Order: sequence, then structure tokens, then C-alpha cells
Amino acid sequence: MPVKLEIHPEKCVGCRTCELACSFKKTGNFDPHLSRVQVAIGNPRTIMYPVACIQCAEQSCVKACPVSALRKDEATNAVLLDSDICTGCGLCVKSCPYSAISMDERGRKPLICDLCGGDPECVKWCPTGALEAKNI
Amino acid sequence: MTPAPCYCGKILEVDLSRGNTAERPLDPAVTRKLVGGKGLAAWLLYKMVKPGTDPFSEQNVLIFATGPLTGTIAPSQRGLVCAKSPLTGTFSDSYFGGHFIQELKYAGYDALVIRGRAERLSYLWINDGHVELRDASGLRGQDTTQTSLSIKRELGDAKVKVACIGPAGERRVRFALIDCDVKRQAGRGGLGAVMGSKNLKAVAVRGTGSVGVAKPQEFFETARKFHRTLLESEAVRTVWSKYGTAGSVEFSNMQGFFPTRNFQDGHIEEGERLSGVSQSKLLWLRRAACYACPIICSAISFIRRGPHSGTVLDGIEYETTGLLGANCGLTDPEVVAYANYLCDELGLDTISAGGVIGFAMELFERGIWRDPELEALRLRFGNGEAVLKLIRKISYREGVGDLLAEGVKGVAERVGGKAGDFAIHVKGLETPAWPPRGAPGMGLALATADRGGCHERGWPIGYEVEGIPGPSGPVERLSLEGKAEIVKWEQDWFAAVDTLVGCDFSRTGLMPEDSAKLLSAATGWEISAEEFLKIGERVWNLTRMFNVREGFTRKDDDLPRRFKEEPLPSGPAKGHMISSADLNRLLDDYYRLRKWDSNGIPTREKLAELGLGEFL
Repeated sequence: MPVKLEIHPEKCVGCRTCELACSFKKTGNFDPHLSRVQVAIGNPRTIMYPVACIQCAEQSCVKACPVSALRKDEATNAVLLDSDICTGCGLCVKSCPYSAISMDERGRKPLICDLCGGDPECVKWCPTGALEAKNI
Repeated sequence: MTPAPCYCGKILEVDLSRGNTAERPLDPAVTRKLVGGKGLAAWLLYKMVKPGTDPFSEQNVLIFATGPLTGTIAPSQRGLVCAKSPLTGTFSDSYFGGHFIQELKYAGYDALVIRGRAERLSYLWINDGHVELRDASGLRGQDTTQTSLSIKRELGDAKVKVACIGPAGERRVRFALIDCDVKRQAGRGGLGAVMGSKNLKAVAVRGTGSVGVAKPQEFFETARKFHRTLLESEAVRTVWSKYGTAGSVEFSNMQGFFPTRNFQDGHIEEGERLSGVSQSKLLWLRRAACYACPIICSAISFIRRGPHSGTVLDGIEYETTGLLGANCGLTDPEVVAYANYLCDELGLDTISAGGVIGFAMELFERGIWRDPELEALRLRFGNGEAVLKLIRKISYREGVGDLLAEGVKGVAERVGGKAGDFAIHVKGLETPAWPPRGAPGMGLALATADRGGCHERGWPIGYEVEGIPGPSGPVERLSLEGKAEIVKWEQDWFAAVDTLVGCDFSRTGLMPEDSAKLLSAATGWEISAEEFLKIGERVWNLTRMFNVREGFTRKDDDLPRRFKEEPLPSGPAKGHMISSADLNRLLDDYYRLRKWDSNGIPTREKLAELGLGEFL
């Protein structure tokens, strides 16, 4: 079923559990730098804001990719990366108006949320409901 | 033999005097016995700091330690820093939430050991495996938030995590704290002053490595279950996540524990103004949590009215409401919040700061300490302006602040006369907001805590007042029966959790067998609840041996005169105290259970049983 990731930053408490859940799901290790969701935390913590792909209508990343490695998946609504095609140029990272794509510097591949096939792991762990997978 | 996969297998050693760094392998035999965190730090300190070392000398070491679960998704992780304390001369470990310690592990280190003294004010920059000592003269005098932000700006990376000291740490105020990203404090024991004595303004870390575990799926699902256990627990749902530690104010004030006017009483009128409910209406903007923690006990506050409006701070935590509030005769939440803010930014432990200011107030009111500067401050209980001024004077060691910066014990010694009769500390550590006259087990816990007067090495009040059954069933609040057993049980359990390094509050939902399960899945060892508690006991004996080596014995397992000789003036335990005879009886029971001799020294048999013999 297609879903959309909804972010409710006012509910975020900055625990970064989502980053750990995401990185474990994707890599089998705890490695928040490889998480597709990143929590921006200010000092002081008046700002705590989970940042991840929200499957926006613009799809500037898809448009920016020179080799068409990114595509919108109709079944899940996620933007999916074909890493075999991807050259790691980073144009998608630059194009995202939400700063929701980061670069895995070691693997030189962009990190973008794939909605875990429609059932995002981060949402299951968020203790406050700051992350929500909404059916569309 | 290599360490389990949840360890990095490396300790980073930095010698600031020589300006060199070295990576040492983590000894797997040490992790199997002492696990990590408190156990690892205590072992390193025992091995590296010779008895009689001046805490401010180059020979003292400052240790930041992770645990086997640090950086994983295990719930409610914290970090710890450890050194010989300049306030007590004991082993001293202080715990902090936030994100700093995880970053150290992602950078590839199980612990960071700092010795020596830098030639000029410096900060340490650890960028994965690359380590560099950088000039911090431009940061001199900066408060903790400024320091953290300045370093991130200088390094051009907002994701760098910083642990730093404020002006108080630079001046070696004996109860200076270390601020750890984001705004969580290693407050107790003056470890910020040790950092200052090393000319070390900050440690900045960026780590991009990962942490693995022995049984990934089992670990992940066990952690998921325990996150849920905590999130759904009654205590977390109704108190912790709503009101945090401030949720204890009403209970404490009603039960006679709220430290009032230098611990003269256990109740303050209008104390409810400092409660979680009151703060939630007046101060709080939003809730905040530490790393991977579903308890969500912190609050971000914003002072909305009065002369300090516009100030943003973390708090006000229960201990701070007690010590900077009631203990100084204050109940105005905006004033206490601002005092809290000043301590955080200038770098003072709010507990010790409130303890020493309340002490000075009583000495001045009683005419024991006469000083024109105190006169000019009109240093009486309830004078909020005087509290704020003193916090600044202490942090910069100006005027009387220079003496107050020595802590309650230091002030008592210098003022002399009857001052010692009103000095509220154990082994030099100002006691927290859980004074023991209405709970003798709490008295024993304070008297025997390894770092001095501390409530985080055992908190028997839950058993004595709230009716939680002890290991041998329920106990009577004011009786001495069964109290030593509870204190031992608590201390062993706390110490075991501190090896992970887990938060005290996770114990509201997670029992020893739960922690043992997580540890087993992370390491691949098979650890039972019993063995887990044994690890705690082993660590407790190790820190005791550090203190014994420094000359601490039964005579130091003592309580302030007030708690032993002045009956509590109000509340459900009105008229009670812990007499010397009571304390002696409790200590006898306790030493017997611990298999320590009557002077409080662990016996050879006990150390051998714990497998510590060959270690020491």
C-alpha cells in the first residue's frame, strides 16, 4: 500500500531512536550516519526536527538525476534508488529542498528513505508519534 | 581472544603534557569481568592513579567511558566521566545523557583517557581516528553553550559533539561540571575542575563508524520489547515523560525530604510552586530525551516573565529545585530557573552550588561567619538576588566566591568554630535532595556511596516510603531492619547498570534479568541476572578498594551532624533522625553483608570470590 511519511516536529524529543532503527534495518549495524532519517537538534534544544524524504510532489531529486537512477515507486510511493546506475554525483543531494538526502561518503551513494517497502521501521520506534506513515 | 563485537576494542590515551596520543587495545579479560562503563573506568583509574595523587596534578587522569550497549538502540543510554575527585579525594564517576559519548564510540573508542596538563588552554579534536590538540585561548571565559557552538563553527561541522567546561571549570571550582552535548551535565564531584586543571577547555568528537552486536536480530527485538516496556510503564506514562524528575517535588515535600534552608527542614511552604505541574504551566516549551530513550524525562524551559525573561534552559530538574530552590529558601520558579541557567552556563553543579550557598546563608544568619561582603549581599534564606550574585562570584572565584568554590567541607574548615556543625556533606560531596532523617536506609546509602553523599548509588526511599518490596520483602519506613540488605542490593544493581552505561531511571521498567538479556545479545556471552548483579558487586568492591587505598575507612562512612543529632522538625517522620548508634548498627549490618571487615575494608576472601584478587 502506498504511504507518505508525515513528520510532526513539535512531537520530536530528539532521542534519535529513528536513526538507529533505520541504520540497523539498512545495514545490520547501529550507524546513525547511514540513517535515511536525520534528527536536527539545536543548542538549546528549542529545535528538534526529524528530516527525511516526505515523498514531495516536486520530485526535484528524480528530475536532477542525470542517469535516471531515482524513480518514484507507484506501489509504495517511495523514491527508489538504483545503485547500480547511480554514479554518486550528488546532484540529488543538492537538489532536495528539504535537505532530506545525505551522502554516504564511504560508499559514495545517496541515502534516501525507501519507506522500508511501505512499513517504515523508524515509525515503529518513534516514542512520541513524531514520525507517521500515512496511507494515501 | 578479542573483545565482543559491541566493543571498539580500543582505548585512546592522550598525554597533554607530552602532547602525544596512543591507541591501546581493550583487554577482553577486563571486559568479561567488569564489562565497561563504570567497571572499565574504575579499573583504569585504579591502575593509573597512584594513592595520594593530588586531583589537580598532572598525574590525575580524566576518563570518558562508553559501555557495550553505547551507540546501539538499547534504551536509555548515558555516558560517564571519571577521575579522582578534587572535592572528596575519592573515586568519582559522573553520568550524563545527550549524544557525546555515543559519538566517541562511533569514532572508534571504548574510552578516552586524558592525563598530564596542556601548556596552554587547549581542546582535543577527535575526528574518527585522527586526534589533534588545538589552541583554545580564544575560548577562554566562554560559557558552555558558547564554547560548544564556537568549536562547531571553527571545525565547520554542526554534527561535532562537544564536552566542555565553563569559566568555573577553568578556575578549578571544586564542584565545576562538564557540559556534554546537548546541555546534559556531568555535574557531580568536580570533574570539570579536573578538566580545567589539565588546561583542557573541551573535547570535540566526530565519529562515523558503526557499532555491531553479537546477535543482531535477537538484540534488536529484545531492545524493541524493552523500549515498549518503558514507554508503557505506569511510572513513565504518568510521571517521567510528563514531569520528569520535577515530578518528585510534591512527594518529597510532603514526605519530609525536600531540603529546606540548608537541610534544617524537609518541607517548605509553597514548595508546590517548583513542582512539575507548576513548571509545565510556567516554564516548559517541550519535552526532550537522551539517546535512544523512551523515558523522555527532560524539559526545555523558557522564562517568560520577570527580569530574566527570554532565557532558555534545560530544567528545572528535581535536584535543582531542592538545592538551588528550597535549600536556599527559594520557591519562585523563575528565580530558580535562572539560577539553574547560570550554573549550567558558567559550569557549576547545581546540587553542590545550592548546598554551599545554603550553608553560607545559615552560617551568616547564625552569626558564625561574619564578613562585610556577606553583609552587603544580605545573605539570608530566600534572597534570590544574593543567590544569583553568589553563583557568579563562585564561578569566577571573586571575593567570598573564592572560598565558596572550595565546597561545603572547605568552607567549614576555613570558617572554623561551629561551622562544621552545619556542614551538610558526606566525604566532602554536598548531599543531594534526599536527606535521610525520615529514611534510615537512605542514610546508609549516603554514608557508603563510593563518590560521597550521593543518591544515585542506591535509593532506598522507594522501598522505605513507597512500599516497593526489598529482596526479602517489604520493610518498615523508620526501622533499621532489612535496610543494609536493600542498600547492598541497590548499590550492586546500580553499579551493574552503570557498566552498560544505562540510566538509573531505566530501572523503573527494566529488571536485572532484562539488562542481562541485552548484554548477552550484544556480547554473545550468556549472562544471568545473578551474574549481572555479581558484576555490580565486583565493581562496587573495586571502587571501594580505590577509596581504601586513599585512606578511607569506616570513620568516613559518616553522616552530617544535623542528620544524627537534630530531629526532623516536621512531616510524617517528624522527630526522627539517624543517631550515631543507629548509623553504627546499619554499618555493622552492611559490612557483614558485604563481607567487609568491621573497619569497612573488603576482606581478602571477598576479593578472591569476586575474582578481583589478581586484578588489584
